[in-house]
Amino acid sequence: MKRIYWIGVLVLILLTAGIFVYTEYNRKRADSYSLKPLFKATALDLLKEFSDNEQQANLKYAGQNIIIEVTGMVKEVIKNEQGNYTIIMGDTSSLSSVRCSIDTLYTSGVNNLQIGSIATIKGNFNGYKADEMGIGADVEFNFCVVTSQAPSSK
Amino acid sequence: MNQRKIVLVFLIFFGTYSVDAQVRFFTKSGVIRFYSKAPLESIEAVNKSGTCVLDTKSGLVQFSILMRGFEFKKALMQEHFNENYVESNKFPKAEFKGQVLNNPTINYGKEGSYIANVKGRLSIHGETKEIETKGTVLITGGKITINADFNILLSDYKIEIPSLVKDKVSNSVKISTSCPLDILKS
Repeated sequence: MKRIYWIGVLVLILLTAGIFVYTEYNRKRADSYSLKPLFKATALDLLKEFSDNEQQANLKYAGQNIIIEVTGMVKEVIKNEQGNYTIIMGDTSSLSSVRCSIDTLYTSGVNNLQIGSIATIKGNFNGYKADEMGIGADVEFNFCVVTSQAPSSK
Repeated sequence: MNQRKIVLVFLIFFGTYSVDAQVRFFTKSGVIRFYSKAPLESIEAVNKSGTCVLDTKSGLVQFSILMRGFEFKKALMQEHFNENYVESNKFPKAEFKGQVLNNPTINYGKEGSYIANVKGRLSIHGETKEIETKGTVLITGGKITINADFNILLSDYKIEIPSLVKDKVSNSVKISTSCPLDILKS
């Protein structure tokens, strides 16, 4: 009787471990819309933070799945050949920008974003590319969702 | 009639001149994919934010991508890729600096598909190796698109495969790039 009990416990442990491994292995990334941002910043402040001290800014935003909410002026909305959207935010007179690659699950309405409007976007922080090619520096995000949009205050 | 001819000559000249005269082209939305075939499961990911600059006069070409920008279908794979394989916190960028060796044979002012022999230095995971590959330069509608496929070995870049999955993960990775370029206005 005791033996059967222990076999039962062992099977239960193995089954639980198996289910855990299977679920973990097939786990999809968390839904971008439901993620809470760890940081909030304006596009211009974020760019300045990196251009002033890249090393320090990299330390601040180090790690995986760092969600940042960025607010800034929409400079451009790009749709590539595969239908993926990227929203470019920042100062129109500068080549440097915050670039947000939009989550393919949340593209609805992106096409209607007005150039010059103020948008708030949250996304997964990928890093910073300093201007090494003479085409401006960029802070890059992916899996982005647009959380709000307002006309430009200018 | 003479006026028409002049306009025609003007259009032909400036139609071809528009691409030919520009020297630097770029994109910040280049698509870079990698694919690794393995017995357990094939691994693939895409990065849609590749930066690329091409100087059509000198043939110099430069790529840059952020490793954390690679998107995988499975979250666990993406986490392992960043933490255990490429260590993206320590080595956030991958870069390529090279030269189109047969640049003078590519007529950037004429539509067509040209083979480009490219040689340069690829840096990943803090390691730099010289690579040589064939790509294509596609010129159509006044736009330039550069594409290239090549293979790298993870061991060349000191990317270690954990011993537990050594037999299940391939050391060879195929990289594909596709970059539609815009004129770089100075």
